[in-house]
Amino acid sequence: MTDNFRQAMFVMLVPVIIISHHWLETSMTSHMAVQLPLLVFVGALFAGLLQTYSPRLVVFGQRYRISLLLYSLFTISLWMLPRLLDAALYQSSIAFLKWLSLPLAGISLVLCWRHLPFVLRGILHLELLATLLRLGWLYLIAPQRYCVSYGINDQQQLGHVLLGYAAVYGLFLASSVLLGGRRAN
Amino acid sequence: MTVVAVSLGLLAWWQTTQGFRAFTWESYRRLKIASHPLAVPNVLLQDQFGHLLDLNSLRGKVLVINFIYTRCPTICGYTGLNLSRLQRMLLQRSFQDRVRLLSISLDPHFDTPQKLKAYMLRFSNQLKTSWQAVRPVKPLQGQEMQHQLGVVSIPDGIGGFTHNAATHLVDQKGYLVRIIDEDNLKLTIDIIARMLLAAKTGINHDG
Repeated sequence: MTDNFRQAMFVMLVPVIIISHHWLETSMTSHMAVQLPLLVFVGALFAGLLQTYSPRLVVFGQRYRISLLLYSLFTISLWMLPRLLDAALYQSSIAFLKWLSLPLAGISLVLCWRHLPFVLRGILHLELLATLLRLGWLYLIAPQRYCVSYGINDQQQLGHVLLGYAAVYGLFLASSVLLGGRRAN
Repeated sequence: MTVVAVSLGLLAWWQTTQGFRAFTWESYRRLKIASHPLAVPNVLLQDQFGHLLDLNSLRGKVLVINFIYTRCPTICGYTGLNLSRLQRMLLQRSFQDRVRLLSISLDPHFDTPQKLKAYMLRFSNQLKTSWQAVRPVKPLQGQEMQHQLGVVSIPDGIGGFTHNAATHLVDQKGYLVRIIDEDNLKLTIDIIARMLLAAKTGINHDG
């Protein structure tokens, strides 16, 4: 991605996320499968921009790569809990943490990513794929609701969407392994 | 540095899940209430005969509260049946004077005293018992109470609500102390017995 493209995306996405937040939170599917990933993505875009303007951040990312990675993994995994999805609707402190911690997770992930060993990056890709499949399957077959704010239909729809994400992501990974070699990052 | 990061991450998980026990809002709420009882706000209620009563006026009794709406096509019939079973169990143990069962309406505009009465008659032909179906006189007060207790109901898309059916136990001082699955009558009555015993002997029950 070029910097101009990143800038344009960032400038466009931030207001979109803020304006649409109420609407996205009305459904479990859009809350978990659209809003949360977008928050991480915005952080990631921002980090990409920062890195080009401040090369010192690259050194920072190199030095603290493990801590940065751990922060983003812990944060992202926490936000997969149904409990936090509900809490973000009823507790303003948790809502605030959502808007802070997820973009930060995106920033940390981008800062550490290029300094991680190739094998670890592969494992992370596969783990994300596996997590999408696990969660999607769980939400699809769970007989009871995991969120008090959303209905069972919504939960099953989320299951379908996560499995859809997994399918697309799996195809992307497979194609980059089979056809690629060009994707350095 | 890495050790610190791992510890902080685990700590965050520990805090969020109440020690890896609560992964949903409802289980978190139950664990939290069991360790930190919550004062139930006062609400002005109207029962199936149209009589007004303050929730606070029931202090001194153990309250068994659940939330219903009379148009409910599914779970409210089941919870009503469970409450009537619980009522019989209370009678068998002669607890009925020290315990009050309240089914609080989530739909106070529709659930007039007549509707509440009809709901009660589905489960028992006796209406003057320790079980009352009530509606908040001021709907906003009712919503505020549900909000404070963490009871959530959402539209189900076919004109009703999907809602919390659990049994809420309030102690003699007006504190919500336990939240139990609506069909776990055994545990419910055990805890009620313990609460009554604690009041008698002055020992603090620990849930």
